[in-house]
This record gives sequence, C-alpha cells and structure tokens, in this order.
Amino acid sequence: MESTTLSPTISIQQTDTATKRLLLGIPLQIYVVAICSALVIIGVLWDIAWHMSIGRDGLFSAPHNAIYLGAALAGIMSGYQVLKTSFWGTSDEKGKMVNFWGIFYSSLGGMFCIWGGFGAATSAPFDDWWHGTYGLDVKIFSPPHAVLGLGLIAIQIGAMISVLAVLNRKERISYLSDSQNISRDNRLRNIFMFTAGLVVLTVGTFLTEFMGRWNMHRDSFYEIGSFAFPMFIIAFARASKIKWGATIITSIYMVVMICINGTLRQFPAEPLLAPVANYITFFQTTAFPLLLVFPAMVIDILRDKFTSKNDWVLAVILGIGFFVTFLVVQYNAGTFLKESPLARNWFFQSDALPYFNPANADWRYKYVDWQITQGFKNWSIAALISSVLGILSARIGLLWGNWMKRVQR
Amino acid sequence: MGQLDEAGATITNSPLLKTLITISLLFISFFTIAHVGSPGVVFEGQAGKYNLQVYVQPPDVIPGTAQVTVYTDGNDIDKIRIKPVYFWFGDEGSPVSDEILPVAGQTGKFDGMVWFMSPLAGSVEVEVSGKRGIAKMIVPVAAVSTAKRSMPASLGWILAVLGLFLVGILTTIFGASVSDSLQPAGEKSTPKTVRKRISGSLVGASFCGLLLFIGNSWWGGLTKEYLNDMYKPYRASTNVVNENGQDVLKLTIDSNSVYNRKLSYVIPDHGKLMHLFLVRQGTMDAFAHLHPQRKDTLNFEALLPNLPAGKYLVYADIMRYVGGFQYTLTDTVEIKNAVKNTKIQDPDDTYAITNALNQKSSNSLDETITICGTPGVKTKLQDGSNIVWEADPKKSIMAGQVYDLKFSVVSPDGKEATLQPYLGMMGHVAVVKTDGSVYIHLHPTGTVSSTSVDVMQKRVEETSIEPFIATPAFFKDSIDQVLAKIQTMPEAQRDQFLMPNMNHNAKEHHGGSVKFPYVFPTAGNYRIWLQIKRNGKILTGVFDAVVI
Repeated sequence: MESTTLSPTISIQQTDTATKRLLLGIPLQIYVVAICSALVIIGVLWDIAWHMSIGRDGLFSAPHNAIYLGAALAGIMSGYQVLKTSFWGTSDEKGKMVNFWGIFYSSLGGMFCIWGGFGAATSAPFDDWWHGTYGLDVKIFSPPHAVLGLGLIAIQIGAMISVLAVLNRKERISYLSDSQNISRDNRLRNIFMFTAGLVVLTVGTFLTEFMGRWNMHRDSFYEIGSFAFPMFIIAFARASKIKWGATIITSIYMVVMICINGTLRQFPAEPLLAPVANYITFFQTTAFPLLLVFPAMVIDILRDKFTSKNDWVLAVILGIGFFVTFLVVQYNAGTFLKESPLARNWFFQSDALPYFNPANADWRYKYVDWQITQGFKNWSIAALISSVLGILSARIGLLWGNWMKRVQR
Repeated sequence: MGQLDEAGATITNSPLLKTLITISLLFISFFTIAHVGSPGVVFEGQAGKYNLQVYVQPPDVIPGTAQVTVYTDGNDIDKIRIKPVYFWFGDEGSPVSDEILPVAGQTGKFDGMVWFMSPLAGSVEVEVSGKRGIAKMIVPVAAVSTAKRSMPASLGWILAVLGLFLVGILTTIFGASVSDSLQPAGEKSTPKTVRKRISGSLVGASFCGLLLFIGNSWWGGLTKEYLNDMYKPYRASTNVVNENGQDVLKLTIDSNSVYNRKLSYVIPDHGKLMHLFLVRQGTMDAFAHLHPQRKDTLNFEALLPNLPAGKYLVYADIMRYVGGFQYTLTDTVEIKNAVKNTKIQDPDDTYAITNALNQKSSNSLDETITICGTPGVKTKLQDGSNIVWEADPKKSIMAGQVYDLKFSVVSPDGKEATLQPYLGMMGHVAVVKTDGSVYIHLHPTGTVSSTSVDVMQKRVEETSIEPFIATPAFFKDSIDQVLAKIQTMPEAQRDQFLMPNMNHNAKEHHGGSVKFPYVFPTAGNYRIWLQIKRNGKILTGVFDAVVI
C-alpha cells in the first residue's frame, strides 16, 4: 500500500532519559549528518576562497579537513547505524529501515550518506593521482572533483532524506509530552528546511563558475539557473508541506552563504602562487548569494494559488514564474552588485577578486561587451530556452517533491 | 630527414582494468627545451658575495612543484628564500618568497620547493642572507608539461573496487527509493514492492552506466586538452646540398610547429643565433659545433666543415627573448660523401674527429684527430697540450647527482695552460648519450645560458607587471643589426661585449682548469665534447663517461 499522507502515528516506548528529552527523541544520527551537511559546504566554500586567495594547498589543508571530517563522520555514523541495526537492532528498529543485500538494514538517507562517504574516500587517491598526471588544481570541475562533489551532495541529500523520513512517519514519542511532540515535529521540520537550504547552497556553489555576478547580463546565466534551481526549490518546498517552504529554504541558502562568506572575509590571506595579479590581504570569497528568495516567493504564491492544477500545468506556471522573476531580480541585482560602489563591502563582497585576476581589469566593476548578451533576438531565444528548461525543471521538482513526501524509511 | 626517435618506458595494464578505467600508456617523451632528455637545471654563479650552485628539478606536469636544492659556499648563511618569477608577470607578479631549510648533516645545502602554476617561461629567484649581506640570484626554468602518465595498476584496482561498490550502493538506493523506503514502518515487502525494487535498480544501474559513460568521455576530453597543452618542440628538417662546390647544411623550421612562438624573437646566445651540433650516429666519432646564419625566420644555413660521410644526429639550440627560453631542434642528416669544402663561413665553427665508441684509436688521418679520454686519464689535444678530466676513475658517476665536471689543461711545456674565452665563455661542453636520447650544451655556469639569466634579470628589474616587447619585425631588425655589429668587432672587443657581467669568470677558470656543473639524468654511456680556446685556437677534448 502506498500512502502519501496517512502514515499511522506510532507510539514508541523508550527509556526516558535526559539525553533523549534533549534530542526530543530524534535519532542522534539525524543531528550528526545535518551538522556534517553544513560542515562539507563550509569546507567547500572555504576551499574555494582558499584557492581564490592563497592558492597553494595540500591534501590536508584546513578546508579539506573540514570536508573530510564532514564526509567521514556522515559515512561512519551511517555505517555504524547500519551495522548496529542489522546485527543488534530490534524488529521495531529494522521495521523503519530498508533491507538490502539480504542482511543489511539502513535508512535511505543513511545509504546516501554511506555512498557519499565512500565517494569522497574514492575521490582522494583519484585526485592525488590526477594532480600528478594532469597538474595541480586549476579547475573546480575535474572528474575526481566531480566524484567528490557527487559524494558531498549525496551526504547532503542523505541528511535531508534521513530527517524527512522521520518527519513523514509522524511518530508520537510516548515519553514526550504533547507540547514536546509538537516541538519535535517543528524541530524535525526545521532541520529538514536547514538541510534543504544547504543542498541549494551546494548546487549554487558548484555552479559558481557560470553564475557569478559577471555573468548576470548573459543569456547563459538564466538558462542554467532556470534549469538548475526550480527542481530543487520546488521539490523541497513540496516536501516541506508548508506554504512558504520555498521562501524559507532559499532564505536559509542566502543567510548561510552570507554568514560563511562574511566570516571568511574577516581572516587574513596572502597569495602564495605566481602569477599574482591582485595583491589581496584577506580571504576573497564567492561573494553574495543569488537572490533566489524572490523567485522562491513567487513559486510559493503560485503553488498556493494553483494548488488544484495538474502537475504539468503547474510546472508550466512555476517554470515560467521562476524564470521571469529570476530574470527581473537578478539582472538588476547584477547591475548593482557589479557596478555600484555600495556593493563593495563585507556584506555584498563585490570587490572580491581572486589573486590571479588583475585588480585593475576594466571588467571588474562594469559589464564590458563580452560579458553582455546583446539584442532583442538573442534575449528572445534565451527567454524561450530558459522557459522550456524552467518548465522541465519544475516538472522534475514536482515529481521529486511527491516522492519526498512519501519517504518513510 | 627523419626526426630523432622518441623513446620511453611503457607500463601496460591488464585488459580488465582498461575496461574499468581509462588508462593510457606512460611515456616520458624526450622533449627539447634547450636540451634533450636532460630536464634538471643546474646553475652556478655569484649572488653578491656568495657563490651559489642551484639545482632545480622542474615539474614535468604543470601546474606542479619544482624541487630546489641550493649549495652555498660557507656556513655563514642565515636564511635562504626562494620564489617563482615568470617572465610574463615579472617580480611584480610574484608571491612572497618561502624560506627553505638546511639539509641535516650537510653544511651549506638547502632544500625546498617552488610551485609553478602556468606553462610559461619561468625562473626561481634565490635570496640568500648571511654575514656577507643579502643577495639574489635568478635561475631560469622551463615550466612546461612534458610527461604523460598512466594510472598504476594497484591504484587502478583500488579505484575499480571502490567504483564497483559505489555502483552497487547507488543501484540499491535507486531500487529502495521506489519500493521499501516508501513503505510505512514495519510493513513487509510485497511482490509489488519487489518488482518496483528490481525496476528501480535497473534504472539505477542504467543511471550509473550513463554517469560512467559521461565521466569517461569527459576524462578523455580532458586528456586530449592536456595533450594539446603539452610542450611541443619546434620541428626542423635538415639536408646537405652542394652549392658552388661547397657542401651546405640547410635547416628549415616547420612553420606548423611554431604556433604563437614567433621566431622573430630569436636572440643571440654567446653572439650566435643558433648553436648547431652534429654527432655521427652510432660511432660518435665525428663532431661539429656550427653557427648557421639566419636566411629568414624559418631557414638557417651553415657551410659544413670537412666531416666524414655518415648519418649525423643534429641538435640545434636557439633562444627566444621571452624569458630567455631555450629550444633544441632535433633531426638527423645524411652526409653522403666526405666533405671537402674550401671555404669557412664562421671562424668560430669547429669540428673534431675521435675514435669510435668502443675503439681505442681512430683510422682517420684528419688533423683534428683527438683520442677520447676517460676520468683521471691525461689525453692530448690538437695543439699538443694535454687535458685531464679531474675525476676519480675508481668512483662511479651516479645519475641524478650534481657533479662538477672539471677539466684541466696543461701546456706542451708542462705548465698550466692559459685559457681564453670562446664565444664569451671559458668553455663549452656538449654531452650526448650514446643512444642519442640525451643532449645538452653546458657552460661553466651550468645548464643555463647566461643570456637567459640576463633576460630574466632585466625583466625582474622592470617595475611593470607586463613586459615591454617590440613588434616582431622591429625586434628582428634590431637583432640583425646587433649581429652585424658583433661581426665587425675585433676578437677582444667581442669577448668583452659577450661577457660584460661575468662575475663567475674567476670561479670558472683556475690555472687552466674549467668546470661545468651537471646532473646526468639517466644511467648509460655518455660522450662529452669539451671546447676551449688556447693561443687563439679552439681545441676540442673528448671524454667517455659511464653513468650508473
């Protein structure tokens, strides 16, 4: 039987302990993998800032360690959970897990985390060999980094699915009071929103090379953005089952990124690789996040207004709605971020520039010809492509969101 | 004429691994950047009041790291710092330098590392501080990708196993996502969920296959990109033609091998635009050091000396202004009949005949005959003086270690010979491995030409981040004028012109001795041609070396 909403409320008899009250009956693994999810994206943003500012790094640089710690902890915690449940778990505990390969029991989220941990572990020797064969890192995108990236995003999706499964089960913990059970649900939802926001942040981060402020007057920016983001935002919003789900998740994305990059900027940094074209003294970062909160708000409003529509129709509405809002907001934001002196501060960080880019480049604070898509015809084609991609992405998001609403284990 | 054969070691992997991971053959190509098969850079000279010898092992993949060893001449050194300096970005584009550390138990030796991130003409700047003050030295280094590696089989297997595990879990995740994970807690699997699990797993396996396919194509594309970005030597072809009763060696550079490295920017090194060495292939018993004239940017010509017939290895060195980057053009050329020229094109052109490899004497009656020497054994030069390679014949020469190849010349009367500069240097050495796979032109300063050092030094002294470079036509014309001026100079004036900043002069020439720091790159048999000048006559000594 497949039910999307009516999972039975389960009363769980558990030993009443202070720790369990503190955790509100939410498995420790949920907290740990949520922290790991944050740790890996902190590590990734830190690592990018490191490569923009210092350049030289080693296998065990501080940002790498943050990433390894997050990946290893999530993988080990989930692996431990699998072994514990598989060999020492009660039938109740096993009943909440997916049985695989005959003997193992794991939550689906846990399986994602294990995959992510192994993916990250695989990428390390692969990357090391890659450096010796094709040179030390100069690009974010390389096959070993893609393996690592997939691993990291798997951990983040794992963290999100883990908490979502618990949330979807609508358990009622018997040793908690009614208000505590409500708090528990709220906390689970908050953790879900947080982990979902982190996934959006990771997606945005991996697209940094295409989605920076210097690209905001280009057609490709809107084509890539219209495909990359709606599927995540819409899926997560639908899975959250709350009206302003997309708005909250994208707000978390923006706030977390502003906090991480704002903090990184406070630390001193000096380029250690030649050529140095920009003598910086503090960490340069990926700067200000995309203003996804605005198209997300439009998505939430449209979702609410057209809730009764068929998902295909809804996808058309949401896809186009996303693209139009994204274009209007981000194009103008681009002008501000790139050209206004008011954007050159710790908050917007539009003065952030890697050490290897010339500090006095003519394109630094204004859009030059090669950074702009010109002409009505080109923009019309871009609008058409972006809309189609947006619709497709929205449809994937709705489908994925439906699935996410149903995850139980 | 054909190119010199490329050779190298290969490692093959099992067929199974090849299907799992894209593995390419490893070969270290014999690249030609002012050398053939001898990538180590050794430079000796004065930095202020210090005499330094710097050995740089450049990375063979860029971006990569170079290992730097500095040998100092005293124990009064406080600190040595090194940093990379690129010609295109100058000192202004360099990062802060790094301190390198003394090697335990070896007084005066320091070891460190420099990162080269761009495949451009680079250098290592060494700053030494101690009781004799603070001084700097610049060592030009070619930072280029020259190696293509495969994955070691052991790592391939580890990654293959991990990869299979990842495929297994991801396939399982797909299966579970559409089946068991959607079931309420405690509910058992039904035939329907099992069916869904299987179909989900199939989709998952297909997804993994697609990912691997995309990844493999991507990897292949990046490999292609890397191969495109690898250092590509200029290609040249040579032939001998008889013009007006004289045998002329003609060298043509293939315009398709120039890319954006315009040959208008070729500059003279020791007063010559090209230093071309001929070595008879196989026997290695005939040698010439010529200086072909530029006919146009792609064509060079030289009158041949009276060499015997045979097939010759050709190594021609040129230097471009950009970073003083040196290139060696390689080819082979057939001299069908013994050369009997009556004219000389350049008085600095020389040749020598010696005994063939594995023979103690030569059958030639040529007046330039000289017998090949070995370490520690005195042999006669063409003018009756004697030369000895000051090395212990009982001690083996090891590959990968810095040696001072020291030669002493004694006049026929038994006194220390007085040597004169030859092309602005107290001596020139050509080292050729007997299979032709290693060639290098050495000077008393080491593997680096002092012209390269001057170019980089002047670049460092500039204060702009971007170098000033004249237009190609203007540049070439200026060089032609300088060369014409050099031709008209009396010998003493020309030597002074070619060696205005020879701080190392005193160190390189002590009582008829001259030394050349060098690192033999690989084990094998080498032949060394040493050229010096005494009493206005250029003399060539020949030595054999066995390197283990």
